[in-house]
Amino acid sequence: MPRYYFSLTNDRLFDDTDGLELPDLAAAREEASGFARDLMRREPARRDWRGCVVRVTDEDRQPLFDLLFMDLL
Amino acid sequence: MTTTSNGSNGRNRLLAALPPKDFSLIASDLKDIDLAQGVVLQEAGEPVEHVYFPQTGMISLLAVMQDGREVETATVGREGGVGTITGLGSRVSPHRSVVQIEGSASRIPAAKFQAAVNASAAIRDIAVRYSDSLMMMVQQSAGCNALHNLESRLCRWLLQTRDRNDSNQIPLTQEFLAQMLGVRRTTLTLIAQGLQSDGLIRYRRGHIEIVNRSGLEARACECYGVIRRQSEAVFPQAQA
Repeated sequence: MPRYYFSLTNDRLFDDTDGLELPDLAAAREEASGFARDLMRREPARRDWRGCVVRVTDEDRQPLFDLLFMDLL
Repeated sequence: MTTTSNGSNGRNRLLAALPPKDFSLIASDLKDIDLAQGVVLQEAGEPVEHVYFPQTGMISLLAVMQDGREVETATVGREGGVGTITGLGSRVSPHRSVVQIEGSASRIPAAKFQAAVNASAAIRDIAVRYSDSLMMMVQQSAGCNALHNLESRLCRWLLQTRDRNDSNQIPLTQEFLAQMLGVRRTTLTLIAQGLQSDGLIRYRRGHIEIVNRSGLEARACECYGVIRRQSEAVFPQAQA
């Protein structure tokens, strides 16, 4: 299974050094939106998440897509 | 499997708290068994056949939903027991009990334990006190799961696991921890990475080590202290 990395690019908030093995890109999209929802719902005091972006990269750390937290609202 | 010799109650604190003459009522029915990770000791809604007193390791008590999702409501280590409520007359388990960290336990048939509770005021007393503390733990967990943020819940969970298992080494995968907190793997990685870069924990695949316990306590929610005090309240002598 390919490995995907989910980082938060704003202010270098989070560089995902672990990554996650997932079956396909659809699963990576689901992980990215679940991740963003977790942070907005369970860590609301940490910061204003609305302007944040999850950047999903492949094993060579090449960008595959960006997910905007705003799009989930 | 070997039978626990009469008069030796091992590391389990409930058994150790019993006066020798009361312990002798159950000693010959207690058997030492190994607890392998992932083994289900009791299923929610099913009859309890044995009562387990862990000597090492940790057991999770889980609420199970119809779709198969589970959430942890309490953990049991050598300070407690699994199925002790049957001593007070209950027949079915209110939760699924799963071995989370491998170890060992002393096990007694539920009917024998019930007979001992009826025969000994000391055994009845400790069964009642432990059931009360378990109810309070479950209550606190329900509030914690609904209200507290992920970081403080993870800190609480790591510290509680440390106390249950008497070790700073926590041999659990991040998949498992994510499931316990009800979040995505990546969310768990973000929280764990923050704690690691602050020097509180070290993690690698399938393993977390507590490096700075007091630092972790400062970041845990109030539930850690509350549950710890409730667990200790079962043993009034130890508090004096």
